[in-house]
Amino acid sequence: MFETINKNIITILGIDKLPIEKQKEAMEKLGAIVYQEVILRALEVMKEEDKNTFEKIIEGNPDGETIITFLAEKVPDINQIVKEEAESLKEESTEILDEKK
Amino acid sequence: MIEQPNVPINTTGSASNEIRTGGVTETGRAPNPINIENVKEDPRYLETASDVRKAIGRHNVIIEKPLGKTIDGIEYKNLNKAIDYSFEKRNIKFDSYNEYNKEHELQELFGQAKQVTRYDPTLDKNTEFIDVYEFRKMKEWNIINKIPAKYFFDFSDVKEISGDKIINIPQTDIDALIKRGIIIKNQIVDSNGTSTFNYTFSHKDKLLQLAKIYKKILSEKDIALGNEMPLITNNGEENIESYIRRITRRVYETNNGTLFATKKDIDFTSYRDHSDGMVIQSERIPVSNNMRTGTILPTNNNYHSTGNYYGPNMRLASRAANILIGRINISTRIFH
Repeated sequence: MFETINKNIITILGIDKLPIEKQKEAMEKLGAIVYQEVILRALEVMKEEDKNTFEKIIEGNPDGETIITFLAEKVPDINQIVKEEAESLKEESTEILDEKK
Repeated sequence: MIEQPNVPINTTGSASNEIRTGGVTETGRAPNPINIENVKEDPRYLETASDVRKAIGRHNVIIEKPLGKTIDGIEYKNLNKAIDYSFEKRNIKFDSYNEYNKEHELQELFGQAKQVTRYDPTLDKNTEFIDVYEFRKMKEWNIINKIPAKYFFDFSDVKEISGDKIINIPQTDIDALIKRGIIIKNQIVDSNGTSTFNYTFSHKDKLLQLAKIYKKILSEKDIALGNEMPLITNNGEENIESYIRRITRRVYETNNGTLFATKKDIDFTSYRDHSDGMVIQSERIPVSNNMRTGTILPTNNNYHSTGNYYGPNMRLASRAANILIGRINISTRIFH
């Protein structure tokens, strides 16, 4: 699931059109923003005990699949949130680039 | 009267409903990619030992605020929430995560909080609360803020100060600071049996630890400039608040190696050392064309937006996002 979400982010942001090395770089920067926004939204709707559990999971430095699986379990529409946040970032970035032209 | 937001311990204290960054920057626009190699890591904002090791590769760093640690008998995690909640109750907004962190630091150091048990009518039972006092509304703060920071801190050689060094502070005020637990009076007896008194901050160890960690990431140039020391500016000697804001500031580095801290944190002004007239501190502002604006959280190099409320959710989200991105680095298959 983690890899699927990554692929979706990469596709939505258009990163897949970049050379491999640039893809990694772009994902490290832009993907981090998307993930942060996604998790913030997830935390907003999570119950307090779930948030505490999530915090404990994060403290254990888990693998990506563990994090995403937990989020998906607690926030069923996580895929939709990822899509919205990636599209939102892309839109806003495009606006900035357009303004700079 | 001191404002006293009280926080049930079981309350989250986070402003989760107010957080909605939407990936915007300080300009309210979408973040531009930044050359993250140019941002100096700042371990003081890393919250776990593994974060520190990952970021700076050091294994002996003591984290100043482990989540399980108690401060004044209050578990740090709960104090953190209580302070955030007090910000929310007072409708305090921050321009950046950086600003939030500094205010949080000051609140923690000087605000004081007490864990108390009292009746909660909504729950119809006795409940534990954390009462948070806003430091700027404490009468003691007006005294502290007038004391030059240099009298409290000298990180090259920790010196104690004698009572007459703060002669401008009335004894009644000093006594008030002692009574409130903000400063400590120490009796020193020399080899001749002569007894004198020194004053130190109750939080001195924490500040020294902050400074110690901070010094490790300062460049030699910064150390040579004495940036870790309280300053003398055109406005006079640096006070505690300015000093803490500065020492907890974010340090940036440009492509050409120039280091600077955001001007908003403190207005550096040139001044001369009284002893030899040499300029040892001058204004440093971002001037390089290769810098872009934005606030970076060093733990993950993410941007944060302006005008939103930053709290525990942001910290947690940042850490989680950082881990996820780290995991992508490990597995490159998805890029093929």
